[in-house]
Amino acid sequence: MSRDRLERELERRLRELEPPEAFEQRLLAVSREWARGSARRPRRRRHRRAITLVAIGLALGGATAGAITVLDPFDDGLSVPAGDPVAEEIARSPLLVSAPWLRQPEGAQRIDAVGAQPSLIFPEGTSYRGALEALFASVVERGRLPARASIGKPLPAGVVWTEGGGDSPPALDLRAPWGYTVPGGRIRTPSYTLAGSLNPAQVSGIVQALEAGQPLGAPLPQGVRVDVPSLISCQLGGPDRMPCGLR
Amino acid sequence: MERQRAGSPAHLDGWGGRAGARRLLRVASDRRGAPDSIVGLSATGDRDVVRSDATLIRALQGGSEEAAAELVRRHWPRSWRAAYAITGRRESAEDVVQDAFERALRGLDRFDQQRPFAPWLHRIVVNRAIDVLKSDRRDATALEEGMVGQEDTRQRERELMEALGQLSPERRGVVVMRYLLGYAPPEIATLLELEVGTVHSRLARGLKELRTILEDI
Repeated sequence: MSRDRLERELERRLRELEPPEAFEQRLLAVSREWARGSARRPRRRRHRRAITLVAIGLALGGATAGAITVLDPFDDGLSVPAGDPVAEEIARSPLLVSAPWLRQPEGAQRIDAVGAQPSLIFPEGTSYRGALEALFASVVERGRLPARASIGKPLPAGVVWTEGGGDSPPALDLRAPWGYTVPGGRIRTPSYTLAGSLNPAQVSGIVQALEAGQPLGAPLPQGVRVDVPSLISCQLGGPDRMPCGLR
Repeated sequence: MERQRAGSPAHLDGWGGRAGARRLLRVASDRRGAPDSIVGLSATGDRDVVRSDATLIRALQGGSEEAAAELVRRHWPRSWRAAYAITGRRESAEDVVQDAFERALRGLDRFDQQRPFAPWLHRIVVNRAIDVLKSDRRDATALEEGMVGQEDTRQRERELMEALGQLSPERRGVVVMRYLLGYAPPEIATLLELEVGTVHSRLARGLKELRTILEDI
């Protein structure tokens, strides 16, 4: 079979694939919900007041939890509705307020343009997948870092994950937990898949938890799958690691 | 979509796929020079004002549910075909497409509306489909249970999916972008952040593998 004939046959067969018409209704429901939310979103923010947050400050020189910092009460990053008892009980980490992997109002930042951030230390034996799932769930459900993790020293520049071993526990970079593109260096946002069984309100809730700092205050619904990016060797900690070449 | 005569709305697959041959009568430009609307004739002879993607996005951001619906109808079939061709599973394709539209809608505020919407959406779809395929612990080359027994499953679809199932996720993605979505290798390289040489290599090897399988059919 000649290449031309093969290409034409391939094109024809791909275009013959018949999408399920019933699926369109589900998509339309999602898009309409989004459009309604899009119209409401500016008014909701104007009526929202920030509350004063007291959080644990960090000494980037290597110490763990240290000074207490009072955040700007009118910080726009994670404002919560005044009078919302669930939200007011939720302690927010300052590391999430302006996290470059969560807040990208001007587009994705470059990994080499972001200042040093502490790492997130996990119990021995935690995998990269386990760390991302724990981080995702805690941010979406409660707007905080995982309870079973602790704050540690920044990882070397460009390192996203360290497996741990010997005296070093597993550690996740808090500049770009989901990594960054190479060679572009653009910090990735959380990657996840939402099953079609989720209703539009559940989908919107998860989106708002990640992008507007409005945690669910409830467990993640069934059907949410955290995607784990394939890190390349220069993004993994280790004695023989070479830095990623960014342009 | 505005219509001069009452009738069931035409479902567009991209620009005028299912609506059949369309003749452009007039193009109205907005201030930026991008076509804001195109008036054409549908296969039934109705005069339709077809709004551009940029117009729909602006309306959607303003809360127009109608614009949101039209944008979805226009782009979801090709996105689904791409996702299905890569993942090999209809259920996964639906999840990927729903997820991709969610991401695209969330990112509209920072999307440069001077650029076309479809390539941006397709990049999200293809990348998500590859991620899903890689993370799917089931045998990626196995067909879904029940697919063989379905009356409406055509033999040609089965053969195609079996053939695609032999390719690696990355090669599938590039093959789908080229032969289903119609992008040239330099465009594929830009959208998937690959070197052009890598795209050509994956296409060549992918076709070689597909030829071996399809020639036997």
